[in-house]
Amino acid sequence: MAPALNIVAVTSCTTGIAQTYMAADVLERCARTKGHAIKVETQGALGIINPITPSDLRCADVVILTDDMAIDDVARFAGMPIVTVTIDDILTAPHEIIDRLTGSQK
Amino acid sequence: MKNKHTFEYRFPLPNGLHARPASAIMERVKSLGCTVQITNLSNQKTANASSVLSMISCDIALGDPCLIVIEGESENLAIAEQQLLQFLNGDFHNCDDAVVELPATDDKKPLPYMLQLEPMHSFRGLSVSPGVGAGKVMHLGEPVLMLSVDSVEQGSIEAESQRFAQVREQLLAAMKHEAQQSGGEQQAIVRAHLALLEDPELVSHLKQGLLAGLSVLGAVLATQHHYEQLIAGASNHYLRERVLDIRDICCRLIVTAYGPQSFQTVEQNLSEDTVCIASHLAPSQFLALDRAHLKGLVLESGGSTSHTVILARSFGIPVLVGVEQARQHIPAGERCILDADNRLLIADPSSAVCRYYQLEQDKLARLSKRRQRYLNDKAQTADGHIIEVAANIASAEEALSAFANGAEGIGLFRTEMLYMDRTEAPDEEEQQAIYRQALECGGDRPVIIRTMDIGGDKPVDYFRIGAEENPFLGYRAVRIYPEYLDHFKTQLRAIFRAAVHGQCKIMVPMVATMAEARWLREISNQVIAELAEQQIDHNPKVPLGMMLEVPSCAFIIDQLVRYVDFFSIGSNDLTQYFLAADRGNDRVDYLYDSLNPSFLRLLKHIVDEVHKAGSWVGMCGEFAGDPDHMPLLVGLQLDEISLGAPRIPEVKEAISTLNADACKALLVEAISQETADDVRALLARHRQASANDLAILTPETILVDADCRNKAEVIKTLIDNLLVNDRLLDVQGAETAIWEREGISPTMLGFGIAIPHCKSDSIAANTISIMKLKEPVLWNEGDEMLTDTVFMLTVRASDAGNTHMKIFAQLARRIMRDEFRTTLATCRGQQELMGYISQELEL
Repeated sequence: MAPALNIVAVTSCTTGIAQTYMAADVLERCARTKGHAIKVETQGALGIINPITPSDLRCADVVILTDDMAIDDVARFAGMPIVTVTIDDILTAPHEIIDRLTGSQK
Repeated sequence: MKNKHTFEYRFPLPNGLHARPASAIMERVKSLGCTVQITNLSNQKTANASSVLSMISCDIALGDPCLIVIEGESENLAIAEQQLLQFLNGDFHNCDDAVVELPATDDKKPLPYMLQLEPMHSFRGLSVSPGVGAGKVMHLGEPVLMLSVDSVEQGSIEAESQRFAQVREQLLAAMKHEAQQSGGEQQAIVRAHLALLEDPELVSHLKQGLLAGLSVLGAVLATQHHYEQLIAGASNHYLRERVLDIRDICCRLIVTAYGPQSFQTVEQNLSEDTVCIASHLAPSQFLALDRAHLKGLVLESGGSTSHTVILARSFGIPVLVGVEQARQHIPAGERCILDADNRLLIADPSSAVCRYYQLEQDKLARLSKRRQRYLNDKAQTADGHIIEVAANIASAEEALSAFANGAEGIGLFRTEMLYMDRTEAPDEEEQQAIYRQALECGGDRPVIIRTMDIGGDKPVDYFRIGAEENPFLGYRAVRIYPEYLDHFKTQLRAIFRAAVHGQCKIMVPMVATMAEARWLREISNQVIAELAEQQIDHNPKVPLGMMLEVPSCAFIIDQLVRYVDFFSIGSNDLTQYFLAADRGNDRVDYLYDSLNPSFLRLLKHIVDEVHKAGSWVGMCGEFAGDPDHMPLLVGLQLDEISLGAPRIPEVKEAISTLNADACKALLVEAISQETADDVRALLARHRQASANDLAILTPETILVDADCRNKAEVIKTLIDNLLVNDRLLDVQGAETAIWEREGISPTMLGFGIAIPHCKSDSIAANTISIMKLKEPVLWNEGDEMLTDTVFMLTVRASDAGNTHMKIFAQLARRIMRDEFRTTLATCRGQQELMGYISQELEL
């Protein structure tokens, strides 16, 4: 059994009205099913929702960022292990993404 | 000793190997001193490169593999082959540039997506009367041969052969002269025709006919028929059109041999749905066509405000003008679709193209059903402000259809048509009967009869006005009445007599001064006195009004009301006189814009002055015919607007959504803008604001059991549904935004669900649309995933961050959850879906 992780993620899609939120929902549920803790910040038409705080960052093991759109304030993740994916990757193969994280932590 | 070389070649010609490039090859081959054969390997047809016709008949399309065989004396052959290759790989590429540029005006507005996806044989023009029509192509003004093989005199074989040789020499000389005199595109066409006339195959075919005992006429017709048959079988449209080149040459041979009387131009009868193509068309020719079958009109030349166009518009017949050489490109008898809304003429449409137009028709039917009530209801704003909506007509027959379309009166009955295309003016009785017909049709609704507007762009032979340097500023309308006083009095008598049969008003065009207004009242009083004296039944109490189309009048309204009873703004002429921009001149037509804030200021000044003087003012120009302008026209507080009958329900509906006070405020804002485009943007914002109150999801935005065959149809159907439910500002803009988003990555998620979405200025109201398909469709190109449920999210660009966004975000999250999708799949009807989703999204 892979160790449980503290994951933080940011999703952001081109128009910011649908896939940002879909990807967030998928990531959250997928990570939790696998026993990890996760917090997903969305950067879309609603602005920044559920922002990742400095204290979230302090206990985070790994960061997932989407690269469809430029992410606001990437600098805060400097020095942390970052996995960059596309929104489509999340929507089509969320399990692979999460499994890859545990693989890299072994 | 003779030898052969062969090489493979593919012609780099988008339009295939047609007359022009073929004649370039022929020219080059002539100088090589070798014979060259071309075999199209895709159909095994072989041509001799010294004959243009033979090459055309090979039906060589872009990319067809061809085998080229060059045969000649051994010592020269290598050099000749090298020269030919050099030519084919060099200059030859440029010989067809001009033809690829099909006649097109500006292409700012992209085509609807479904049409962009389809290969089409199409032409662009300038749309001057909206709508879509389909039918068989008929060429009007097509020359009709007046000779027959039996009727022409026929000499001996030698005599006919000699005659032909002479005729051909004469025509060759004439065409060479033309080629020298002309330039550019025209020159290239003349040269291509020359090459045909010099074509050894064509000439030998003609000579064979003569040797077989045919007359020159018989031989020319036989050859024409032969090549028509040959080329008609070509797969490429462009080549098929070359039939017209052959016909043209044959026609010229006949005229050279037998004189210009050989052909006569006659009108044809329409016996089925028809789209007519002509160079230009006189109003009388237009009226002679059977409108039950006339589905569209294409004019190769012609301006947007010619009388024929105005007539066509009033009958709701779509018209494109400026489709250069349309008759050369589309043969008579071919099926076509004329889409004036997209400035498109489509020859021989594919089934996918027809399917698009079917969906369009469904949408229009739904829109007209929505507007049905305005056929009877009077126009008024949401807060009860009344503005009369009347129709412009140009013949008494049109009155009936105008009233059937919801007209509350006739705001402009143009009478000059009665005078045109005849040798003498209509007499008093004839006119009286016509006016009476329109008035009786109107019953208690007003009919404004405008006295003849002759001169300018509406010449009439028996008024000897002559050519003028600047007819729009010249001798026309009221200005000719003193010279043709008898005609004017006859018209007034006819109107006063007819006026006992309805609610009649008289209106005079082009009044510019007080002297004219005073003179008109005097003459009118004289005519009434004469009728009274002669004890002829008439109505002396007919209001006498004038068109407001000369800017000078805007500043003497307080004085004009001494002599005239009402006004109607002729926005077309007033705009062109006010902005000093000829509306028929496409180089200055960007200036001819009635939304120019200075022009709006003029209008406001006019309406205010008229109302201050206690009088009545309407508007009967094109400006009044656009539903988008209604906020300004209501804001101006015009008493009436008069427009082409087909748009009346749409205009009344637009008025019904407005608030008069808001429109007044909008007008004040509009006249403080700097440009016409600023005013357009202001109008768009105004429309968007009025759609604020619509719910994000309603039963109308849910479509179940939808019959769409592919992704493009799904998107079009959903967008059209938004339009029908008044949730869009601009169909095209919304569709483009959706497709642009799909272009980044398709929005199919798996689970059979796709979520196309966009954020765009073209959206009036934020909307969730849901479609359940009867049969699933493929969404993403390149995979096999089928979609049977579509959520379309359309969001106004300005609305980021508002509460609707939360609903969209919530829906997006729900769609990713199994239980939501499972329940969704079990929901069948509109109501059930509506109920479940409203509950899930807490709407």
